[in-house]
Amino acid sequence: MDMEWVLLILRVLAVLILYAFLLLVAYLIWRDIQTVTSDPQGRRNTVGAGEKPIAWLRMVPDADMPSQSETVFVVLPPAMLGRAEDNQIVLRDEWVSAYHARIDNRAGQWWLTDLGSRNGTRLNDALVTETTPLTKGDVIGLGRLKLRFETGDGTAHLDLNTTPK
Amino acid sequence: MGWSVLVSGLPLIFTFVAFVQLSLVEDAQLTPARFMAPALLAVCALAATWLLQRQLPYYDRVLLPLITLLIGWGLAEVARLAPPVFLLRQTLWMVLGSGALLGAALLPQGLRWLERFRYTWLLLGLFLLGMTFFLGVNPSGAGARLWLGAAGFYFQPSELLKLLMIVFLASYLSQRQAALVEVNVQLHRWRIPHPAYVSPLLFMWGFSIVLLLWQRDLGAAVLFFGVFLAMFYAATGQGIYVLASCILLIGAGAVGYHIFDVVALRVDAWLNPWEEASGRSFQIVQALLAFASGGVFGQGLGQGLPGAIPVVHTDFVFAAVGEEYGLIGTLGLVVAFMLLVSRAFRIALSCQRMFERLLAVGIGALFGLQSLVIMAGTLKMIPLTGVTLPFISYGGSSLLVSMTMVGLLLRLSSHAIALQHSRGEKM
Repeated sequence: MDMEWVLLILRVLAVLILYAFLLLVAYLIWRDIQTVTSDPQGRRNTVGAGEKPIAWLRMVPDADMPSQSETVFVVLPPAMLGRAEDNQIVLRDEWVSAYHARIDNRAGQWWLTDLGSRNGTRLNDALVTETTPLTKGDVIGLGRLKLRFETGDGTAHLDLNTTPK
Repeated sequence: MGWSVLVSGLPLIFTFVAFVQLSLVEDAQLTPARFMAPALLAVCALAATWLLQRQLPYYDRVLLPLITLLIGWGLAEVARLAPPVFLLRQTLWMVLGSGALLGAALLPQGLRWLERFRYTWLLLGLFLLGMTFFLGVNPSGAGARLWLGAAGFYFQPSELLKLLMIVFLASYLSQRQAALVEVNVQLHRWRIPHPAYVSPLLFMWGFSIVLLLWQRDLGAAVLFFGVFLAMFYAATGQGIYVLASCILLIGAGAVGYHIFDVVALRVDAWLNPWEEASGRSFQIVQALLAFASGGVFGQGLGQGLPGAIPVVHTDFVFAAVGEEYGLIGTLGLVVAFMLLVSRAFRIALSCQRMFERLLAVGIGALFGLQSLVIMAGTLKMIPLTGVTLPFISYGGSSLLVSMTMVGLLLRLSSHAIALQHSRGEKM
C-alpha cells in the first residue's frame, strides 16, 4: 500500500481515537453527576426535607455576645461540634474545645455525646457524662454558648434564609 | 468494568499512533527504540492505575486518563519538535512525575502538615526562587535565568512556587474565611475587609509577584494574580474584589507598558504583529502562519513545518498542534483541558473541609488559566506571556509539579467520596 494512504489512515485514526476518548470521558462525567443528584442518601449539597434526618441548632441570644444571636446551624448527623475548622458545626468561642461534642441520629432518635471536652457539655444545665437522648427544644450548653436543639418532624420547612453567611 | 479499560487504553493508543506516524514520516522504520517513550508512559499509567485502585477505592476515574492523553500528546510533540535528547529528558521527568503523583495521592500522613506549615512552604518556595538571582542559569544559554541546575538536570523554582502558593492561599483563606467576610472596616463609603486579616495575605502574595516581575517572569506573575483572585472569590464569594482587581490589572499593565520594555514589546506584538513580522514579532507571526497552514484537518503529524517557530517545543507547542492536527486537534485539546478543570471543580464541591475545597479550586484555576493564557496568547487573542501548556510543553519542572497537583486532586476525590460512604453506612 502506498505510504501516503497509510499516513492518511493513521491521521483519521488519531482523530477518531481522540474524540472517542473525549466523548467517553464526557459520558463518564455525566453519569457521575447523575448518580450524585439521584443519590438516595442525599449528600451534603442536596439536602432536602424527608430524605434524611435533619435538625438545627439555634443560638440562644446572650446579652454579652450580641454578634452571635440569630445564628442557626444545620445538623446533618453525625455532626461534630467544636472550635476546629473541620467540624461540621464550627463554634468560635475560646471556651469550646477543638472537638467538643457530637450529635447522632440512630433509628430516628437524636443523641448527644460529649467528646471529653475541657469545659464540659451541658444539656438543660445538667452536665452530660454519657450519650444522652436529645428532644426538641433542649438547650445545649458548650463553653459560653447556648444552642437550642430543634427538629422539623419531617414536615416543617427549614428556613435557610435565617442562616448567616 | 469495560469502560474503565477503554478510558485508560485510548490515550495510550493515541500516543502509539502518533509515534508510528512520526517514524513513518521520518524513515519508515518502526524500530523498538523509537517506542521507548510511549512504552514507558503505558507502564507508568497502568502501574499508577493499578496502585490507585488498590489504595484509594473511590478515586476519580477520569483524571488519570485525561492527563495520560495530555502527557502522551506532549511526548509526541517533543519527539516531533525537539532533538532526541529532549525526549529522553522529558520521559525521565514523566517517570519522576508519576512517582510524585502517586506520592501526593497515597502518602498516609494526610494533608494536615501541608496546611499547618503554610508560611514555611511559601518561604521555602520564595527562597528557591530567590536563589535563581544568584545561581540562576538558562539551559538554552541566553534569556531569563529562571532555572537552578545540577548534574545536567534543570529545575525552575517558579513552577514549584505555584503549588506552594496555592497551598498557602488555601490554608490562609480557609482559616480566615469568616473574618475576611464579616470583619469590615469603613473606608469612606466602602466596607473593606479588616487590614489585620488581609495584610499578611497581600504581603506574602505581593512579595511573590514582585520577585517574579523582577525576574521578568511575566507569565508566572499573571498566573499568580489570576489564581489568587479565583481562590479569594471562592473563599469569600465577593465578586466586587474580582472586578476591582481586574481594573487594577489593566492599570498595572498600562504602567508596565511604560516601565518594562518586555511588557511594551509583548503588547506591541499583540496589537500589530505585522509591522515587525521578521523582527520582534517574528515568533507570533510564525505561529499564526502555522495555524493558517494547518487549516481544519491539519497537515498530519510530522508533515508540517512547525520548526519555523522559535522555541516551538515549549511555549508555542499549541501552534505546532494547530499546524499538524488542525482545528480538529486543537479543539480536542481545548475540550480535554475543559474536562480536566471541570473535574477539579467537581472534586472541590465534594470536599468537606474548606482547605481541601480551596486547594482543589486553586489547582483547577491554575490549570485552566495557564492553558488559557498560553493558548490565547499563541492565537494572538491576548498579549503573549510565556508559560508552558500544562502536561504538553517540554519542561520538566512544569510536568513534575502539574502531576503532583493531579496527585493531590486524586487524593481529595477519594477522601471526599469515602467520607460520604462512611457517613451513609453509619445511618
